[in-house]
Amino acid sequence: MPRTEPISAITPPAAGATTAPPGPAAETRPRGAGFDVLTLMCGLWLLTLAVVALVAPLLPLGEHQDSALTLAEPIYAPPDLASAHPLGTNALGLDLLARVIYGARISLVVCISAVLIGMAVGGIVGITAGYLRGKVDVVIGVLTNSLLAVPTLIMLIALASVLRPTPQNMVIALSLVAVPGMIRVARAQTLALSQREYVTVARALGARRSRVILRELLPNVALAIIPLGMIYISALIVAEASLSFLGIGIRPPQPTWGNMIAEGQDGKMEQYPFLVIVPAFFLFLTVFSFNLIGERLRKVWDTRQVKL
Amino acid sequence: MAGTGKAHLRDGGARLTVKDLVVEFRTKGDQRVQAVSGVSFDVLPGETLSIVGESGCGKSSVARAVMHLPAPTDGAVQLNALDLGSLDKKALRRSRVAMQIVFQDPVASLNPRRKVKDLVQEGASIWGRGTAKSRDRDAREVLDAVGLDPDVVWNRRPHELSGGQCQRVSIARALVMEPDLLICDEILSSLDVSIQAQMLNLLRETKAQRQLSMLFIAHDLAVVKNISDRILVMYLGKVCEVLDVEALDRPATHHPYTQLLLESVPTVGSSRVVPSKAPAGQDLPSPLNPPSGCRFRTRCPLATPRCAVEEPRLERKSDDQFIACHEVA
Amino acid sequence: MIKPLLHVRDLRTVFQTARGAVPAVAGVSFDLQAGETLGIVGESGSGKSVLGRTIMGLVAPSRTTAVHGTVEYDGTDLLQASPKRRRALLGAEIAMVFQDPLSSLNPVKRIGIHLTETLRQHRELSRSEARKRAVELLDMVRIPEAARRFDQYPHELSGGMRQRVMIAMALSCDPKLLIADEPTTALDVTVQRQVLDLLAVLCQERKMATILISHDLGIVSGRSDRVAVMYAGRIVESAAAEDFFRHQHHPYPRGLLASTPQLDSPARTVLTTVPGRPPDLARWRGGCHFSPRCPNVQERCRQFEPPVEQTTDGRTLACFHPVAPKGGEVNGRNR
Repeated sequence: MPRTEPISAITPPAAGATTAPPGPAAETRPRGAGFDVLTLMCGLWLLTLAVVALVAPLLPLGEHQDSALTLAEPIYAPPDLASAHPLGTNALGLDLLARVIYGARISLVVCISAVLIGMAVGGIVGITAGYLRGKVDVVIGVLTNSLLAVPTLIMLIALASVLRPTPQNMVIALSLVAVPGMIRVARAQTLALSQREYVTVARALGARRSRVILRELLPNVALAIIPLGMIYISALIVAEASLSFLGIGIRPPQPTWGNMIAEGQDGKMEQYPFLVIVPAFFLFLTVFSFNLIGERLRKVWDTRQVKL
Repeated sequence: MAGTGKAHLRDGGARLTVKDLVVEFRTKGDQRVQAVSGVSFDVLPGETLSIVGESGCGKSSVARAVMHLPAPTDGAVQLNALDLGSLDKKALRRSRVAMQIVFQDPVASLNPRRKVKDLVQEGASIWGRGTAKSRDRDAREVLDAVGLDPDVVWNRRPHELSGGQCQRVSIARALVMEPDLLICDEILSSLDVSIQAQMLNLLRETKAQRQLSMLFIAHDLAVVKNISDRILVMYLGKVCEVLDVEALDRPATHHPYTQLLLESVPTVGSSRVVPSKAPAGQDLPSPLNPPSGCRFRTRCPLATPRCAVEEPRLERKSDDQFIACHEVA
Repeated sequence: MIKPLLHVRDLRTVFQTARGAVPAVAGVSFDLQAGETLGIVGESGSGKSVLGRTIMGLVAPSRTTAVHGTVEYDGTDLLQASPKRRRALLGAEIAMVFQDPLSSLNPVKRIGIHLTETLRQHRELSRSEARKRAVELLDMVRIPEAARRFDQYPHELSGGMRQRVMIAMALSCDPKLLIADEPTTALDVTVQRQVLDLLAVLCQERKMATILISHDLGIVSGRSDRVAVMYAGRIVESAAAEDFFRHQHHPYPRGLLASTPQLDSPARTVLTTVPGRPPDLARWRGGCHFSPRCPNVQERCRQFEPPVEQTTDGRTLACFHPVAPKGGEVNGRNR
């Protein structure tokens, strides 16, 4: 058959086919941008916790700290949602619900501040290292790597033995945990972003270094370190709790989730499991939520970066 | 060094003159790679010079070296008779504004976090030019000139625009600075054919209206022919041929590499292509270890032993054509 | 009439996105005979790549993806076939070459492993036989020093060489149908020519049917028996290549051709462009998809989608107001 002739033909589709419905898939609801019920519930949990912790002094809660005021209260009262102590009381008759909420206050404030400091310091140092390269980068790299080489808990224990266990000092100690990771991510992002043409274009337009860093790099680096910050918050909540549990963090009677869990030591947990279950449950839900939301944020922002 | 010759440079009046440009990179093993080895050219006011070649020939490195982003390893870049190499950092920043560059990837060239209005006004705000009001007006004017409706795109971010629209924003951002020289680095290769044609027409009009000189970096000779006044063909960091675009319209002998490029351009037509059954041509040699003598000799059908020892210089073939080849004369 | 090798009828691929349903392929029909080359041309977003992938079975129906229509290969409906039957066909009888040879090759596997794996999956070959066959294949795609390349990693090869490896992989089991999706877009012009020539020669030698998908009419021109132009998920015009390049009836292919810079047109020609840009398929509210950009648009085009009709000279056309060739009428040109 000669090659020049049309060997095959394209026949028109059946009449009306062009207006046929696209099929069953059309009825299924389109998926949103990666947010689902679970994420929503995690967000709600964190929001509720934050609001309750914020307005705790205004709530009609039992006593959380001063055992002088609870001499008349029952000790080791089991959780009973109908009673005055819905989540029970501890050895001193202090209300567990109140303690858990005031504990959230400390945990959240300490850990979020530590991460914010870590993000600010880590972000600035990381961007500087990544943008300037050269000797600055080498020095910062060595410092970061040495900080990362020290196991977190050992570093915290060492710091705890030097610093008095006040919330302020906890913030300083915990932010030291967050900084090196932030530096790494910020630096890596900066290295990648400075290859982007828009940075070159800004320089071609005559922008100074400071402007390039603040206007071109910072907003994009922030997209990468904010989700990491969420994940760090959850890690630091656990770290803070571990320190309190070991008795070198914030000390009782000021409640934190860690020292509340520690109250279950010496066999009390077998007898009164709620002593541990209540704070552990709050700890678990909160850590889980921060992790999940951090992960989702990363995914959403990542795909946006890819699309761009 | 055995340069590629300067016979094609014109006397005086050039907006941009580049002499013996060398761009070197260091590789991981601390080896040096020359991406550009002694390239010279000039661009007259209102003229478009295209640099053509395959990827890895150093054409993009030339563009960046002209901008001093970063500064070339060696060689002189003169813009309006001012030697950029002699300037301090501040003066360089200032004179660089007279040259603007637009890159290949329309989306990567725009900061995803900024709105179109800020992107276009960026240069003016860096230099504190005019009032907020006059800047707005200028930005709107230039957006209009590149075929975007300012009212529609004003508050958009890059991801809300198509590739072609992003490229127009990039061009607007460059034009707002009223540059003398516009460098276009492969700005059409990521666009669709119909958008490409719109951009080509836009660039041609803009250039005529603003007496703009253009340095147009591309790999497609058909595109280049459509926009250029003069063409410079590069291979592995060296110049093979410099010719006025009119020389493409008459039957003329070309450098064998130019010939290869010309033959490789896909043509549209009803006649059937007869596929050549020739074995695969040699790949581009590694720039780490370029061939001696003429760098094209490993792929050249005309190569002789002389080509391995002696590097050809650009020689005048006619008024509008300069070729660096021992065999084609 | 001979039974076609590939018979595609009213193929639709619809993606559910956050912005609504996107019919990436919206009712495509064509036949492909054994040994024939069909060139499919379209701009980005025209659905040409999705079409290739759907035929190949790489677009799996899911909650967000719906595939309808018929893709009949040699009597088997690929969309209805069991996964096992499909797997037996894919790679062996139907093969695909992708655009980006670097991301299509696994960076940690040697070139030879890529080739022998496919071979040994579909054919019972011993290790040494597979190796021998793989080296032959590398030779066939004209890779110099084939035996040495066998043990190299993808990153040690140039882009053109990697694409040749991809072609060798695709051809390893002597497929009868090859789908080449923008096979040369990532390559330099000089290499592009070599790779296209290689594909053409191999297809001719093996009587292999080929679907050549590209954004560039120039690539398809002179290398296909038929040309089909896609716009917004539909084939708006298709014809035998010779007829197509002589005259285009649909205004879109006309515009596309006019806006392609040509080496043989005079320098600094002002190009005729297609104004505007392709429509947003998720937001489309009826009418001919090309109507907002069409120079010949009429009221009817804005309201109704023109059906795909077959003209007497073997073209198909989806246009209410086609452009007549000089001195001839549109539908009555008999051969």
